[in-house]
Amino acid sequence: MRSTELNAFKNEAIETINRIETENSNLFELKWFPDTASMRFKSDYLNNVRPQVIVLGNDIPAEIIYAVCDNPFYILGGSLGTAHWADELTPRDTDPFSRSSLGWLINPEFDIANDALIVTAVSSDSRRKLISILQKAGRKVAAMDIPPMSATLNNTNYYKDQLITLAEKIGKHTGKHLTGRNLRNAVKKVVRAHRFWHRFQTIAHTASGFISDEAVLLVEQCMYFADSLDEWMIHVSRLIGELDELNRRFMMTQKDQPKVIVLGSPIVFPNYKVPQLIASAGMRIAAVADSLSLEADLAVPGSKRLISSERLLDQIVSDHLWATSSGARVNNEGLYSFFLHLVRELHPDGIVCHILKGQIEYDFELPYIEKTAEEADIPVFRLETDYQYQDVEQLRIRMEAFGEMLTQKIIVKRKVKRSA
Amino acid sequence: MNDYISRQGSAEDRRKARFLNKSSTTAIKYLRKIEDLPHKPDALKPFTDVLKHVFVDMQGAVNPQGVPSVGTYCVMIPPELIYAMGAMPVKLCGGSYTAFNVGDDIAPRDACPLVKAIMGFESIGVMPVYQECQLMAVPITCDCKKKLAGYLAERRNTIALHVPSGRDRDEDMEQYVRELYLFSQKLTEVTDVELSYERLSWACGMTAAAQYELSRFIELRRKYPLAIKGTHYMAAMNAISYTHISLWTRYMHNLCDEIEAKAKRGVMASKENRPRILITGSPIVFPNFKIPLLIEEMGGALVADETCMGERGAYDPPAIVDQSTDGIMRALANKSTRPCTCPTFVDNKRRVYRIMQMLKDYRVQGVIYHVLRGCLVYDYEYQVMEEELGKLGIPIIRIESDYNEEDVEQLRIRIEAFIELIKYGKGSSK
Repeated sequence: MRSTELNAFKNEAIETINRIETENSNLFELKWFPDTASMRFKSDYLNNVRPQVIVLGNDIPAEIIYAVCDNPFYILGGSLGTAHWADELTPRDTDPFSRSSLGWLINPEFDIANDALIVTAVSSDSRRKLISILQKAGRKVAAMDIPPMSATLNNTNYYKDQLITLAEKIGKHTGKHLTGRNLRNAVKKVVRAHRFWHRFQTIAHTASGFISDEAVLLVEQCMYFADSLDEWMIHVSRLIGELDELNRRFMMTQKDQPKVIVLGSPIVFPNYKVPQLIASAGMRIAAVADSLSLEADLAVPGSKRLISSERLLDQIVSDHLWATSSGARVNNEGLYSFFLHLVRELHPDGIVCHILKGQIEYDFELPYIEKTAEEADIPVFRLETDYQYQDVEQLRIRMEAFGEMLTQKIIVKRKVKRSA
Repeated sequence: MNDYISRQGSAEDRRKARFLNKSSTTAIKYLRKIEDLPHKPDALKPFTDVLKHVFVDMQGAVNPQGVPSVGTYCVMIPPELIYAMGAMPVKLCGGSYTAFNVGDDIAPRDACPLVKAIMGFESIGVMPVYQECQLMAVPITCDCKKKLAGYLAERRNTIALHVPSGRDRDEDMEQYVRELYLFSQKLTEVTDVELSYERLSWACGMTAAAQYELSRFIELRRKYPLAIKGTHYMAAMNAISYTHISLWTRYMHNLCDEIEAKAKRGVMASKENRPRILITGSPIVFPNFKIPLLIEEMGGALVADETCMGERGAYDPPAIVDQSTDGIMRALANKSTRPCTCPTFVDNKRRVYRIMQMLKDYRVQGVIYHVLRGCLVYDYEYQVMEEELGKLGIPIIRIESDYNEEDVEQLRIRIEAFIELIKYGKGSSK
């Protein structure tokens, strides 16, 4: 029974990797990314890896994490196998992200959290309860609170205080303390990584004929999966170069596929069911507007990087408090404005709102998204799913219908344009 | 055709009329059920009258002094502060099936029914108890309340209060103290009353009188767990949400006198051989009284209630050590969070200790763990309770329910079986 579960856990990753490698076999520089992501699903690696700090979710500013820890081990859920391991520890209606994250940390097969300090933000109901489950299981946990509103000075100060306290706790564990120099270096590193993320996104957009959507997602998420952020930047830079070269050498024109923006719950490796469905329905992902992309969109501006470390910290606080993920916020202004920016920039044909079962905060936000989309005459498709694969065929039918509708809309638009 | 022509008013007016009609019908039904339970104390009438006033007569909160009403959505808002600022707190957590049906169309499918009911009430806009509130205070205690605060803020004068997820650090307490100060400023905008030591002290005195009566009642129940039906007690505790505290204190005083007199004469509301049940978990808000009613109809004695509509909200008095405005504010922040057994806190061992204490005090033989569908925080804590009660050999059952009556018969079977299990199994040997 145990080996069956372990195999299912590994197979899920292998299948996704195989698909990505087959679809993108022409990209030589891509190879490092599937290898990096699949590493996390190998017994040898999991039995030997001893991260100092495990970061649950991406709600904590990366600048703070890197200021006090060199190689954080990020856990972003994504795996059905680990979600199964946490079934008995969580209530039925728990969202798959929380289950999967817990399964990574408490399971019968490997123990990556033995020497680690688990770091997380209390951004949702599940998260606050995961903390108590982990503490009960004897894990070391350092958590920080996120005020749900950003408008008041009180909340800003509290958030800053929380960040400093958390950084001190991590620093105590790692021996690397929150100093002005460490913070400045971390900011530099994170800004560089985010810049690479953007450059890659731009090039992937123009070279969409050479790289699949799933591969784009994988490359971006390897920023969290890689053991070293510097290594990720080197490989992304090479991949950007390769895509650029391909773009220049082959003017590959894409047929008019509908472009969609995917927003809502993050789509995390290896569960790439949604991009797979979008591709099979003949659509392309123009951009992803989730908490991972939102985080990557934040970067301390160059002019602010030379200010005092205290003011640098204030800048990080104000940026992140405004843009932190939706579960933590009364109104998710950061996500709305990011979404609006993407709509203005990319002119998508449709919007796929991906909601993981149990993550109702995204569902609460749907009316705002629908209203904005309606004003811009963009159809919205709400896709609710979990990490299971049983619903793939039903979702495929719905997604195909959505794709066909978007294609028809494009044809009609073009005809109108021509006749005008 | 004639019927169609004879319809008066717009479709929206008819919808509102239907809502009021259905809402009051449900309230009447449950009030009747509460009143029909045997051994109803005479002194319970003012409490049921309050519920009737609000949910049947649609008259709004019982507010004899005519001060502005402030809607609150959790026990973490100290009523002392609202009274001190010249307003009256009205706890607006919804239990209405009719409002739930309205809210079902607005809120996401998996949102909890309590929040759906609130959104339903807000959207239909006909319940005076909701409409007359000049300010809504929403402490952010769960994901649904978080989003509810955003929803209400678009429609009403609303303030959201950040409740820290930890409560043991001084910094967390400071944060809540600051939130309460911001809340007091908002209250000043509504009432024109400034925060002062005198007013806070006066309000604390008023709530202390209520707490005294409540503690007297709790003491009586400890001595005589079967002296009053649990459903009657829950109705009395629900009434505090919609009554001025000075009135409620008077009603509670009379209830205590009657219970005490009856208990001294040996007159009990339930027989000694009835399995004694404690209910805990998601709040039970009038008119959603199906579970307490089922417990008592099926032969159980509901002796204790560890929900936030029970004594949790009024049980702990503020411990004022510093006789100043700031001292009282700190005491209020402390009493609202530190002893609170709400699962919003990461570390909630206090709830286990509290329940253990109640098991002992009320000689409980079985625990019913109530989970409203979608109320994830309580669901997470079920496992802990199951483990702890397993060690004591006290049976526990998890009952998941929604705001409708469709599951009543299934719940009846489960509750009946649970009570029988206690009666003829383990419980009877105790």
